[in-house]
Amino acid sequence: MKKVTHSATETKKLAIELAKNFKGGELLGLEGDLGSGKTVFVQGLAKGLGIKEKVNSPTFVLMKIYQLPKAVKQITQLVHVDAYRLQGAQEFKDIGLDEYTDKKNTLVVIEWIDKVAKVKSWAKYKQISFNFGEKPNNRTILIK
Amino acid sequence: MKILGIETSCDETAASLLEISAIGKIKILSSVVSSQIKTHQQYGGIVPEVAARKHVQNIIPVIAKSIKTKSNFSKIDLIAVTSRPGLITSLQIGVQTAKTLAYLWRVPLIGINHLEAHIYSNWLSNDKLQKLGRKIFPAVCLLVSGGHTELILMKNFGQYELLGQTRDDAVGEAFDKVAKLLNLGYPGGPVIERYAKTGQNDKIEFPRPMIKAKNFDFSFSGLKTAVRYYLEQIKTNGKLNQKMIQDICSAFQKAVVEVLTYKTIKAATEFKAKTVLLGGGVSANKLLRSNLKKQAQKLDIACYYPKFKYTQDNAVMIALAGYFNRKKANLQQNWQTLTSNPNLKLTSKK
Ligand SMILES: Nc1ncnc2c1ncn2[C@@H]1O[C@H](COP(=O)(O)OP(=O)(O)O)[C@@H](O)[C@H]1O
Ligand SMILES: [Mg+2]
Repeated sequence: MKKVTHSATETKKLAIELAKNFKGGELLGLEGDLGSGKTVFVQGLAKGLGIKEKVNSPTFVLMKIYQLPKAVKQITQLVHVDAYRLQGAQEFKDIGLDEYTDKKNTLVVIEWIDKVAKVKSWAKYKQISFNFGEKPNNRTILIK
Repeated sequence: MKILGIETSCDETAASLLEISAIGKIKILSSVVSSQIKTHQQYGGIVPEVAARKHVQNIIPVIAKSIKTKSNFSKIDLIAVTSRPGLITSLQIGVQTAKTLAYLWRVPLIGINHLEAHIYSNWLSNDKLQKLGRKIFPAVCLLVSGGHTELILMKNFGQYELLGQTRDDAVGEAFDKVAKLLNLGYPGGPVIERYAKTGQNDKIEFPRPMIKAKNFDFSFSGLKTAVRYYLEQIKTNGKLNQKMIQDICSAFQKAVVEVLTYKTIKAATEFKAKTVLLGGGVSANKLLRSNLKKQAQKLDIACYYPKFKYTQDNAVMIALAGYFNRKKANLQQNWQTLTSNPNLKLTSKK
């Protein structure tokens, strides 16, 4: 699926809609350069899942975990990871990500997945890529 | 009393020995920081796994150096260690080491919130604060670093209320990412400040995110995007030169400093603060310091910031936070029960 959004709000809305499609246990891998809207998208996902907390950039802390106030299907928590500063799969293990992938009650989203995607054990993810459009606030979002 | 401080929450392994007299006079016996910036630079950022491995290598030599002599270690009264927030893999190294030492030496141990320690770095730098005691409260504290952008109301020692925070990127993160967009390397704070010095800050108008919002939150991801758009515009019209980079840095820095200053002063006014305190890595920024001080003084509000060496992560501030929290330290239990916590916030809104 390919979508063009024209503002951060539109990207958030798209993510809110998409949030309804997940059952739990999925791993979403976001690709796209600095400022392409990955974090904005995750903010939308969180909203779509009913999370009230502020979702800010996990670049520094690497991983943030948000509990859903009420389960959506089987999902009870959203795990937001940022691989901007990571090098390889070993580092995913070091931050304890293993505990959250393939869990029926968890939706995992990783920004900058391309940094670690080559690694076999992490290859099974749903790819969502973000690209800058012709005009400043346009983003082309490609969901595989 | 003598306090050993230990810090491993991010990229620095640090230890410090502090002596505090009965009347509260602070004497820094040692401050050892084994900076890991060199290892990180090649990756354009801090690499946590590398950091954790480095902490393991560094921690014992750093602590040993901070203690210096046997007579020092036999007189340690308290161990203070950063236990939250930070990278869990890094935090654990400091916490486990501290627990081992506390157990072996039979010394009380206390876990310290890294953010609170950054606030206390002001007490290390300004003798006046030590003399004023509680008279400085209420104080508004602006904590700015790679992972933090927080505005905190400090009502008393140990009493905090979170007024606002970033909704997306932290200030230090914005500096790092803009430096990355400009190919200036890591860390972004000092390098942007250096380029900004020779640039003109009124050539480009970057946004002042959330400056009009009726709350104390911040947003910096829009600034990063604005710089990106501006760069694309330049690239379609020609080539980016040194002078342009200087102007971009200067305009970016001005936008950041204006928003931070405006909101901090607004909070200080609203909560009738007597004092404004700065802390964290980005508080090393000279424009931020001078701007905030100037605006505060106009309103007769005192403004303090840490010495440059205490803006960065260090263990002196951890030891001092240990002193201010010493009543909570427990000889019986802490070495058994203390755990590290990656996310714990200093405060929450009441
Ligand atoms: N159509 C759009 N979708 C998403 N973000 C947009 C859009 N147009 C403009 N923006 C802006 O771009 C920035 C995206 O930042 P962010 O989500 O932090 O990017 P990333 O996480 O990919 O680095 C925000 O400042 C947002 O307001
Ligand atoms: Mg992001």
